[in-house]
Amino acid sequence: MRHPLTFALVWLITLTAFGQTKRQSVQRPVLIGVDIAKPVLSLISPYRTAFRLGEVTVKVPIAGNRYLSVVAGYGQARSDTIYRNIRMKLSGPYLKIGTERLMSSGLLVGWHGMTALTQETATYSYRGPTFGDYVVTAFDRQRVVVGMEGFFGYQQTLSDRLIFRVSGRATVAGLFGTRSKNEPAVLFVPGVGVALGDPVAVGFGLGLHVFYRTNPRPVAVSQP
Amino acid sequence: MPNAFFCSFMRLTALLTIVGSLIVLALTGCENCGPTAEPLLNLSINTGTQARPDTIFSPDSRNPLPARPSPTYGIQSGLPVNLTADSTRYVYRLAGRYDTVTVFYQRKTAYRNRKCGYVLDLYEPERGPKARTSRGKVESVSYLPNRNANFLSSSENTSIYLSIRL
Repeated sequence: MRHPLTFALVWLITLTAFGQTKRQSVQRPVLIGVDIAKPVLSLISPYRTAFRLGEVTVKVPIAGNRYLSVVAGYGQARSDTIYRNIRMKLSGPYLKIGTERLMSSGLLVGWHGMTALTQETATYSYRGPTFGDYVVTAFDRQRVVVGMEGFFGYQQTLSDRLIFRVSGRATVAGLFGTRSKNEPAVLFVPGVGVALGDPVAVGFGLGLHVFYRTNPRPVAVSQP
Repeated sequence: MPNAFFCSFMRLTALLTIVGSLIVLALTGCENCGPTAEPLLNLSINTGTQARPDTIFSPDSRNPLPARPSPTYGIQSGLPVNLTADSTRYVYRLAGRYDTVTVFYQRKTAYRNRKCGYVLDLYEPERGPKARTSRGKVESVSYLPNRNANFLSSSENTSIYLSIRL
């Protein structure tokens, strides 16, 4: 699973370089950010689930007040025993590309198309105090995720280089691949988060981003 | 007049909603999901006398068989079934002699719902004997699967009944 993530990061760096060139003409910076809410999610555990998430965002200025928005990340959820005797492990990389419009008030609105690969493994078990535990693999499958999300938020300049942003999103995605109807629904989808529904999953998320400007914010200078 | 009809209709709707919710709650609350650990075997050894086994163990077990209630009418109840294999052997001592009884079964599991997860059932084997004994003969073997949650009583559970006559 590391190779797709590496690919995504290389692509982000390429986009950043592209943005640096464009910056000369539009005089707006490329923004590179991380979601600081994701590590916090590792501590909060619905379904007694441990999350490992990492996400990098790059905003490249395009025409007007719009940005090209590229998000790459990796998500993993490992559940404790749920639904009486099942344990799940769900992981995979995801990539989101879209545009956003930034208003002068700091408000922003945008959309992303998204794709992800998800590796889903589940086992169930019965305790065997006398003869040993009986552990069975329920499924071990890969599926492709394709979806779309809308987001809105507000950003505040912290310094010449740093911007803080809070945003909310709603994501709808379809999971394509083999799944028997006699198997439990997915619990977590990379890029969607804790998901409701299968094979059409819906998820909501809150993002707390810190962005780094690739060129400092211009400072007003008084004329003599 | 229309107001009175509307009020009656609303009361009836509310009443039906409450009754329906209670029925759904009662039904889901009664669902027996079956065992979460090794199911149990009830072994009946008919000797034709008052003699009862004084020792019983399984040569396949990692740990000693759990303590069980005293045999009633010669039935050794609460013997755990080995879920890591399709058969379980039990060795018992009766009047100083050791004998072995083996029960065969097939394990089947299926995902039911979020409350029960995967449920387990034991069925008779597709081929071969249901049980074997080194002494006497097998009288009967019964498999009680909990298919489709047909056990409404929490005291019933997936289990096997084995009866041998010496």
